[in-house]
Amino acid sequence: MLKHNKLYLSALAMSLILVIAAEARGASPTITWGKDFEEVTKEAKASGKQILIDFFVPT
Amino acid sequence: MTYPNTAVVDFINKYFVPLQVNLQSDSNLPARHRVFWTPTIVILDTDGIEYYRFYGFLPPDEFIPQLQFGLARMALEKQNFRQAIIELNGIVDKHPKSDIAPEAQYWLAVSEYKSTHNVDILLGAWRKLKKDYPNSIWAKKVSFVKD
Repeated sequence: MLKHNKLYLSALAMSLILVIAAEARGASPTITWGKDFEEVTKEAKASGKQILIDFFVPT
Repeated sequence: MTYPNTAVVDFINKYFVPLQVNLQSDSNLPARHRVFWTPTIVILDTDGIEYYRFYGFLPPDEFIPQLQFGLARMALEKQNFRQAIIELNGIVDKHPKSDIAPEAQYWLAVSEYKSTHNVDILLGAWRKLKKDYPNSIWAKKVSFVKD
């Protein structure tokens, strides 16, 4: 019985690892949008990157 | 959709610090940038000075060259012609079928001339514009150049 439980737990742990690994592989890069112009300007000056503003309305 | 596209995300993350502004919010940015329609994409330098904008949804294969053209226009107006050549070459080489490519070729010719002061380079690049994009308005602008 104990041996059976150990096998079951091992299989469960392995399944979880595989699921997490699959999700990590499939994870897409995302854009982290700033919300505050002053903060974005500070970050742009520090990084040397330019500023992109996307004006939108929620759909 | 444009933003979930990996190439778009990578380009924005590599070259920009991005900010999203809801036109219906109480932010003063829409008024400051005279925004009246969405989506409006505005490209500014690190001092917050605007150099380029475009309107409306675009698929990734048009959106990315538009962003790169914004960087090119910034370099041009700052008279950093070497950087402009890099950005404009990136557009005509990697996105030759994009709608912005003919304009990129026009300004590439100008940037190369400004870098070298060699008129033959200017005319050669404009002849390429006439040959590669004969139906564009940018080819009409150089129609005086003899083949």
